[in-house]
Amino acid sequence: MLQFAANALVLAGLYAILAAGYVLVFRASRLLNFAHGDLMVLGGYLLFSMAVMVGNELTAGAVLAMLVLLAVAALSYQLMIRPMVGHPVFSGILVTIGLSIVLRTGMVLTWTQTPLNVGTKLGVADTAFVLPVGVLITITDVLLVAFAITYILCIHLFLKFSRPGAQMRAAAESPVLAALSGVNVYSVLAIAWLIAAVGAAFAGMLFGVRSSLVPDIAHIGLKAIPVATVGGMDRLGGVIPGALIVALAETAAITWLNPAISEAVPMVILMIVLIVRPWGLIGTKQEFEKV
Amino acid sequence: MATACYKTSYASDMPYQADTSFKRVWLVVFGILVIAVPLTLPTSSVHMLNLVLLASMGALSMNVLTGNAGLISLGHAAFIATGGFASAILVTEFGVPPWLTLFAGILSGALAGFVASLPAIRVRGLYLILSTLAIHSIVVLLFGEYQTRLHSGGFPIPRLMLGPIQMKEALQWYYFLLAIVVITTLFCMNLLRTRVGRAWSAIRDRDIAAEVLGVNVAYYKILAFVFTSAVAGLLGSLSAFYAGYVDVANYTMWLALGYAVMAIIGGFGSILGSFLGAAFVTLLPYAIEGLFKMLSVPPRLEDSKAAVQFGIFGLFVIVFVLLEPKGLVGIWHRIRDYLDLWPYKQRPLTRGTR
Repeated sequence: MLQFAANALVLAGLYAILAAGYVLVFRASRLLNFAHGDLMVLGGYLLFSMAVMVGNELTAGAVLAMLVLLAVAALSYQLMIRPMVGHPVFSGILVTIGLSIVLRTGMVLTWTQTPLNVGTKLGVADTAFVLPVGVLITITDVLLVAFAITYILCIHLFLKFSRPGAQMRAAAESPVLAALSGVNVYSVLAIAWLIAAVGAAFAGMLFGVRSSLVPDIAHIGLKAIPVATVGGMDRLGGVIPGALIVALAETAAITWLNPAISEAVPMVILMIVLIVRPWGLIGTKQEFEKV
Repeated sequence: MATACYKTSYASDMPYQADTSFKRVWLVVFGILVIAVPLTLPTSSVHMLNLVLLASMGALSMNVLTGNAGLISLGHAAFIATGGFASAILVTEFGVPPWLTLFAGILSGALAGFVASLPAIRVRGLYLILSTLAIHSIVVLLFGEYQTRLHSGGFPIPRLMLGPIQMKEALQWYYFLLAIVVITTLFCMNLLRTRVGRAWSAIRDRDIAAEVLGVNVAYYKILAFVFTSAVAGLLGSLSAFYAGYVDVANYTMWLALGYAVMAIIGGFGSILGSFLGAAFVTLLPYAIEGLFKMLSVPPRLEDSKAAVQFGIFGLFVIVFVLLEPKGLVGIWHRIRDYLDLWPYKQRPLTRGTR
């Protein structure tokens, strides 16, 4: 029973990081970034390549991989997202889908479709240990949950107490008024995009060490969209309860039902939320009406 | 003072106006080309034409739903899967004659569209995209469960029999599909110029204002989904019979995206655009393959040809959305206007009938 809760918690951590990225980008630009899952997997693959390049050093490889991923994210922002500001939402979403396809193809061409376990390739053991209460978890699981909590807390503090954070909140609420008040809406969007990419990269690196990477595993990103919707697409605080709900339901389906059916559980939750309460748990109805 | 276009007779409101002699001649020539040319082409080319015709049905329904009615949907693959599986199940389990299952494909697609339209009454825009995404996942999962329980891998279905003719030649399929596509296109063109089409345009532009003006928005949204899903269901049945088997792995998110991309690349909301987009997206893999043969490509790229085709497809999506939002139809209109108006550059402002 506690093992089930631990598994759900780890999955919730992963979902929370991805959903925070979705919420940030949505608040800044009303776009749903369909390429988020691919950025995550790319982070994992880059960790492997960068670590191999510097001679199997894990931490140096992680730093380099983060930098390269940020460069990729900045480039894709400049070329694809920035021109889409002000365009209809569907065009922007199609551009992110195009970006997702391009990233997926790049990953398939560079690292092929064979599963790649970053941990075993680098000789890093993902040591599992047993907690006093009899639960089996690994180091990456703990890191994942710890990073999720720190990440969301940092974003929350950044948004609340720093100047760019206040500008981001203003731009999210009304881009035109914010621009009139001197907020550079483009750079605010760029900051949101890069913060989301950092989260995705870290999640991808931890995921790569924990389990094998295949380019198609990016559909985890799609499964995290219901998490953002359940919590409320415009409020960061909804990400944690949303992640817990979806992760608990999915882990329950894996444990007690068919594992194949558990793939659809987030989508079923998404349908229920959209029928019953489309603006999410703590999302505001005004934001929902503005779509 | 004429400030708008007033059509004074029913005939002048028809969707295709053959008012100039050039248009009349072109219509006849086009008809002859379409009917006669495939007789001279090799079977592989006719097969490509069949694929384009099938794709254009999907692109047409997607374009009507998204471009004309403004309801953005990524769940099209689910409706196509419904039609295909309905036909397959009826033929293999219940022994229904295959041509009858085409109607079952239409009906099942319409039913699935009705279920999918229910969230559309309440949510808009991005949330509608999400709900269609969810429907796609759930429907595909259900069919996947059915397929793994009863058959492993794709399961084959008998050939389509239209009366005494058994459809197995590409050329037979070509004329059959041509007839169906022509009927569907005429249906769509006429639907768009009636009250239904006008209601859809109102909903696409501002649905709250449409509701205020008295348009029954919920009814027309449901109608849009039901109609386009019925066409998609028919497409599903037809492509199941054409391919000879049904496999849930074919109905991926990328299929739904492919039709959305056909609508965008071709031109949002235009019938001609659906055909142009369908031809573009369907023939792109063949064009890339031809390009590979012409240039000397390193063997590594040659192996992952599918991935490269996929990547170039994604690049085209980005390029078209960024640079030419009006799509291929926009390019065509620019060329046509340039040739039409030369040496002038703009249309005169006082022209009221176009």
